[in-house]
Order: sequence, then structure tokens, then C-alpha cells
Amino acid sequence: MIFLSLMLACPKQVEPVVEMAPPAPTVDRSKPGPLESSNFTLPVIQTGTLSNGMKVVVVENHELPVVQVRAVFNTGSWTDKAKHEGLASVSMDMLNEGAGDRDGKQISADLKALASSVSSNASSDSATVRADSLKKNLEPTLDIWAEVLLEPTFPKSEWTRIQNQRILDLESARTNPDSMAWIVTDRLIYGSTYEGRTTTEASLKAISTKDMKAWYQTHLVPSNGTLLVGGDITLAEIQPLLEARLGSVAPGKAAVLPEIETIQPTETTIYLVDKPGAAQSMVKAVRFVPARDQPEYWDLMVGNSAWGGMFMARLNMNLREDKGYTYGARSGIYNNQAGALWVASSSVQSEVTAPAMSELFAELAQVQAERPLTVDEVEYAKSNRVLGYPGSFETVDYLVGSRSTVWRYGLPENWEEMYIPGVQGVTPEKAQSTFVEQVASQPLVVTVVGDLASIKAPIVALGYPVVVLDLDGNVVEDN
Amino acid sequence: MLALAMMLATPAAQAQDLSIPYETYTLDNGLKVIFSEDHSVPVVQVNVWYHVGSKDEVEGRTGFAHLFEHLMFQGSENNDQDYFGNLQEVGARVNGTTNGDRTNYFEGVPSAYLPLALWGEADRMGFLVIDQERLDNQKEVVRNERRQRYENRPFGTSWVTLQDKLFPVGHPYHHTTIGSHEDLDAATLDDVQGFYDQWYVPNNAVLVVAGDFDPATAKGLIEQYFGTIPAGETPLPERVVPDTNNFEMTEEVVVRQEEQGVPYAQVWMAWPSPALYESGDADLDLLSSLLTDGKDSRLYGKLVIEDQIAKSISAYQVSRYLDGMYVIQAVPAEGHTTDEIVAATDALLAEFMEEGPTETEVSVGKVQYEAQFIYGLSTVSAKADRLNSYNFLAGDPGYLQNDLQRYLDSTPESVLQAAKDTLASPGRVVLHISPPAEAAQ
Repeated sequence: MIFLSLMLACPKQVEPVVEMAPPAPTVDRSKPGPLESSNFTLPVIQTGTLSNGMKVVVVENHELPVVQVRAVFNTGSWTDKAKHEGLASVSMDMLNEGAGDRDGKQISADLKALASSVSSNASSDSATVRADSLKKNLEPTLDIWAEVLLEPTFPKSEWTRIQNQRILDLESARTNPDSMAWIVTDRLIYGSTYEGRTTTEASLKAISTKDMKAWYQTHLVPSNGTLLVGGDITLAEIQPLLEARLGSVAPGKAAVLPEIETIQPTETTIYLVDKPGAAQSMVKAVRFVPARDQPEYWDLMVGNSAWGGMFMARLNMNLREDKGYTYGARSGIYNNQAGALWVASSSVQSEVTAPAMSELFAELAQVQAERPLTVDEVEYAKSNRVLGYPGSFETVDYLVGSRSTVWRYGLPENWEEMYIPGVQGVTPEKAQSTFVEQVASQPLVVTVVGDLASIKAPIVALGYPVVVLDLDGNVVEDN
Repeated sequence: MLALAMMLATPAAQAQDLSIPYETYTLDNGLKVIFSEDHSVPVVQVNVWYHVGSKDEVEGRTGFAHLFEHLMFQGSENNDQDYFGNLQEVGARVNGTTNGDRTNYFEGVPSAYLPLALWGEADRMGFLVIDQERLDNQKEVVRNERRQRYENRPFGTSWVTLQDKLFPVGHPYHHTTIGSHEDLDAATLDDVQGFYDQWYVPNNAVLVVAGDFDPATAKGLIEQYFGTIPAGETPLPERVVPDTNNFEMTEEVVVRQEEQGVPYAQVWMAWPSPALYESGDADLDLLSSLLTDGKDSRLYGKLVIEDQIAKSISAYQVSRYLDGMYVIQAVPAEGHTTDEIVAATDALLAEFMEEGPTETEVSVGKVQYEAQFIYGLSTVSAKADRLNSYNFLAGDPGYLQNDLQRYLDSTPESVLQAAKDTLASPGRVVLHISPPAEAAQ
């Protein structure tokens, strides 16, 4: 038998081991301690300025012969006006549909021949035009990137096509449980001002290429943006290339992002959205919490980590590893310029939706009373954050993305340096008290997308106010 | 500008040096070890492949290889707690995945914690704790994974149907890795023990250590933790050798499915195709590039940009160890149907089979793949997984350069030949999924 098995195993690798001894009793299988730590130094950040005042930030990383360049602007879909929801986003989409003398097909073909990409997009509070290139093809790639950035033509024919694609995307979002939950939640927490008024078929149809040009001219001006570069490149190399392409563009007048209204719930309320026949229910609980510029930030981040921010946190260990209700449950803090949003989220089996929600509420209640975060839990969460941090700095994408975050949200320039001391400074008492004060003891907006015919009655029995909404925000039923 | 682009499109006849440095040795118990030093960040990757996947499952136990992967995170004799427990504490990035061909486990840990990662992997390789409570809990978790990732996601079960119809009953890829609720529910502790004894043995595993570590130290730790784990007693089945077209599909199978909760119709056309690294495999990737990559590509350019009968269309070769599958997937534009898309695609493919690709189309495709290989090396964890992948699927951890060379060696003739061999056959599956008729606009 043993002989046969050796024959069938890859023969060149295996020495004939006729008598395999059982595990020797002398092997020490107790948990080992660490070796000596390797040094970690944060990447050096270099800064230059073009003659029109545009700032250039470079983070070098010479592991691979690739370069990434991003032009990031302080704008986004929050600038959308009523009835034109989606304007910022589609305007950014249209940039590479025609620029300078090239039509969209030509741009696509030229980039493909270089194995480069130029992409553009808008989020709620930023807009980015990004180029990714092999080092050897950087200059012709930057030519296309600069044309897309500076000379977009917004061709009408392409807008017709993209408009139709976008309308189908909207339909798609209205069938995906996660985006369905966000459509409803955003409307509840941003009120009438911005994100709640999501893009609709009607708003897309109301947008013209003239509107896009006007939006573009107002928002994508040098004084409203910055240039972020990373990869196999130095400031000395990139600055003249950027100066040649952008340096003479007039700085323009910076448009300002409007103030965004944020609505905190006054009483925990459950909002239900029907998805007939759904095999699972998507559950999200949210509220606004202090953002990164607030003193509570580090305490809250660590407290949340321990309660729900990672696999080993209470929330997932309860809902997944103990109960088996879900494939996973997490809570996290998401930042934008309006503030920071705490979100607990899980997709749970339909039949156990109410019991899963009950566990979520119980975890929030217990952390306030009989089961405060322990010293071990908090130190564990801190260790996770601190020891895991250096590994983040591996990719050009992260290096440039991190600088984008610092710029967009006005964080201190040495943000990356502040991270480890910031986490280390959190005490178990502060992690506990801040999490309770900002989250656990506070009212939440809870959204559930699922098969209401089967899940509604047990959810109503939980005792919270329940409102049934449709995806357009209309109240179907108010309990 | 065009001329310049064309000039740049000419790839080097010989690929630039993209090799991942490595050394390899084998323990007495058959565990193969591959080392690759890379000190770019103070992190070391431990990456273990077990040569077992859903293709090795027995009848009535679909989904078992993946369920077993979950159990590998539930504790072992000397580390009897959630596997994430000791590793998340040191900021590790930990996970495992199962596919048709293999199961992998990996953790990226701060360099100083290499002993912890090796200890944990060895302990679950040699001393897994198997009990009913853990099995029952993870059955529920995996069934919820199925609900989340397949059933509750629009078009989420398309792949289940495609594999079911394309690969005949009894073919190892006839079923998908997630398996069925019924089979998952039927799994017993005996199944778990049997699977562990058969497959989770050092002589069926390969350990890659990559990143910021000292090989001499790692060697000592590996000997200590893995060296005394006995080789398997049950013989490993002889590996099925991939063989192009080892099953024949002679007729078209058309499936029309109505599904609650899908936003619009979508269609998949799927053909049996060569296995990974077989003749024609790289050519089909290049074919995909010229068919649907970019606004000037043949199929995307025609159906999406010019005629605007499709919202999206993409072609791709799914290369796997035993057999491949070539897929063209499309969503019709508003007012158009999946049948129109199939007809237009067939017409364009027929035309293509007459003309064949141009030199430029093929050389631009090569440029794409050359860049993709470079971007694919941007993390040490990706390099570690690639070493293991090449070792298992190509029989050589250093296959990277040869892999790229396959693309560079392609010609318009070889791409056309591969297209004919695969797509000209009448045997294929056409799967239409649409919203229920009464809900359709």
C-alpha cells in the first residue's frame, strides 16, 4: 500500500520512505513567539508645483516598471442639481469618448496599442482622471491622458449610447440587494439635499452634452485639483512631462462643493424593502459618527474594530461562527466630505432575519452593560491595526490612493505617520466609552431588503417602529 | 499619432525578464517547499496548495472540497480556536479558496511572525480537530455563502447551469465548486475524516514561502513543524492528464431560463475549449482580446459601439487543468433581444473565420498580455500564488517566462486555427436568462 502510494505521487520529488515514524513527541508544538522585526520605513513623499500653481505629489516605488498618474478634483456628484442627478458622473464617463482630434474608438485603440489605460470617474465628493502605463510608454500615454483631461469633445452620438447603458445600469442596481439597501438608506440619511436624490431614467434623459461641457468647465479646472503620481518614477522625471502638458492651462476659479445635510435618526427605526423570493435578507444599520478630523476618531476606530470591524470581532463571531446565520457580518466607518458613516452590514438567511437582527441589537445592548469591550479585545484590535499597517504599502495603487485620501479630505500631510501612534494611543477605556457613546447607545437607521412575505411579521415583533418603503422612497406601509 | 501607436505595438520577440526567483526542496514526507525572497515590504507570505478541488468530489457530495476548506479554519489540536484568531492579532491577511482544481490557503504576516504562520499551517495539515458541532455550523455558513453569492445575486446561478450543460454527467467539471444544498447537508463526519486522510497529506501539498524572510531560518521551522507529519497512507489517485477535447459535444444545447429578480436579459454562449497551457489556450486569449477588448475590437466595436444592439459583450477563455470553456457573454441594449445578439455574433464569427486576424490585431493582443504579466506581479502574495499555480498546473514553478512566451509565439494563423477548432464546432451551450415574461417591459 505504501509502495503504491509512492509510485503515484510525483516520483521525482519523493524519496522512498518505507517506515514513517509517528510524530516525534519531542516536537514543540506550542504557539511560537515572533522573530526579530524587520524595519519599516514609510515611503518618501515628494512635492512639486507647476507654473499654473497645480501641485504634484510623487511617491516612488520601483518594484515594477509601471507608473500611475491621477488628476483629482474637489468635485463630484454632490454638485448635481435637481432634475440633473447623475451629471457629474456621466460627464466624467464621457471624457474618453472623444478628445482633441481623436474619437472614442481612436482613444481606445491608441491606448490598447500602448497597453495603457486612461479612466475617469466621479464619486460623491471627488472626480479623477487616471492613467496607468508601463514606464516605457509613459509619454504617449500622458499625451492621451492630457487630451482627455483638457480637450474632451462630449460627442452627442456617444452620449445616446452611454445614456442607454446607464439606464440599464439603474435597473441592475434596483435588483442587487446591496445597492437596493443603499438607495433607500442614502435617501434617509442625506435627506433632500444630495445623495438621496439618486439618478433616475428621467434625470439621465434630461442631461445634454451641453450640460456636461458646462459642468466640466466649471469643475475640472487646475485650481480645483491636484496631481498624484506613483511608481517607477521620480519627481525630477515627471515634473517636466506634466509641466509641458498642463503647466500653461489657466488655473481657473475653483468651484466649491455644496454643504451636505446629514440626518441623524432620533429613534431606531427599521425600514423594509421588498425583494420577493429572496434567499437572504440584506441588513444594514447606520448612523453618522465623528470623522477623521475629530478627537474621538482613533478611539472609535479601535472600538469598532473590536466590536465588528474584523472576522474575529463580536458581530461576525456571533452571527457566522456561532449561529451560522450568514457568510459574514462586519461593521466599518466610511468617510466622505459630509462626515463619517458607521455601517453594520450582513446578508442573512431569510428564515432567520429577525433572530439575526435581534442578535445585532443584543450585541449593541450588551457592550453597554454586562459585556463591555475587554482589555484583551481592545489590545487585540490595536495589534491587528498596527502590525497590519506596513503591509498596505506594497502597491502603487495604495500609495497613490492614500495621497488622494489625504488631499481630498484635508487630512494632515503626515497622515500615514500619525496612524500607528494614533492607534497605539487608544486606551481600552476610551475605545469602550467612545463606541458606546457614538454608536451602541444611539438610535440607528436600519434597512432590510428581503422577502417581506416571510420576514416581515417576525421583524415587526422585535418592537421597533417599522416602515415599508419602495425603492423610490414612497412609504408603502407605516407600522 | 496612429503611426506611433502601431510602432509601439510591436512586442519584443523575446519577453523581457519577468522571472520570479525561487528555490525548491522536498521533505522526507513528500512536502514540496518553494522559497522566494523579496524584501520590498516587511511581510512574508505563506501559501499552501493542496492538490484537491471540486473535480475530485464523489457523487452525492458536491461542494465538499469547499466545505472542507471552511473546516480547516475551525481549529487544530495545538491551535484549537478559529484559525483567524492568532493571525488577525498580528495584522495578517488570511484566507483560503477552493476551485475545481485545487484548494489554497494563505497568510501574509509581518516578517517576525513567520513561525506563527508555519506553525498554524502545519498544525491543521497534521492535527485538524474534526467534530460534529463545527461541521454543522460550517454547513450553515457555506449554505449561506451559496445563498449570498449565487442565489441572491442577479444571474448568480448562470455558471451552475453552464457547467451542468457543457460538461457531461460524470465529467469532473459537470458541477460547480459551491455544490448543492442537498449534498452539503448530507456531508458526515466520516466524509470529513476520509477526505482529510486522503488529500490533506504532505505529499499532496506544496508550501510556498515568499517575501521578507531568511531561508535558513524558514528551513529549520519547516522541518520542525512539518517534518514529522506522516505522508498519506491512502494512495493518491493518479492525476488525470489533460487531453484536448477529451469529450465531444456535437450538438447545440439551448437553455432559456426565466428568473425572478434579474434586471434584464443576458446571454452566454459557451464552447468546450483546450485546457490550461494546451495548444490553442493562449491563442484563444488573444482571440478574446481582438474580439471584445476596446471600442475598436471586432465584436464589441460592432455590437456595442456601431450597431448598438448590445449594452455589453465580452469574450473570454476559462482555462482549467482538465478542460477549458470559451465564453461570450452579452447584455442586449434596450429594445433588442438575446437572439439578435446570438445571430449577430455568429455572423461576425463566420466572417472572422474567413478572414482571420490581422498581424496588428495579434501583435496588439500580445502587448496587452505582456503588460498583464507585469501588473500581475505587483504583490508578493500574487507571486507566491503564481509559483504554486505553475508548480501544480504546469509542473514547473519557474514557468512564468514560458507562459508569456506562449503568447509571444502566437501568429495570426495559430489564432485563427484555435478559433476554428473551438468556435466552429456546432457543440455549444447557449444560455438565455431573462426576467419572467409578465414582468418584461
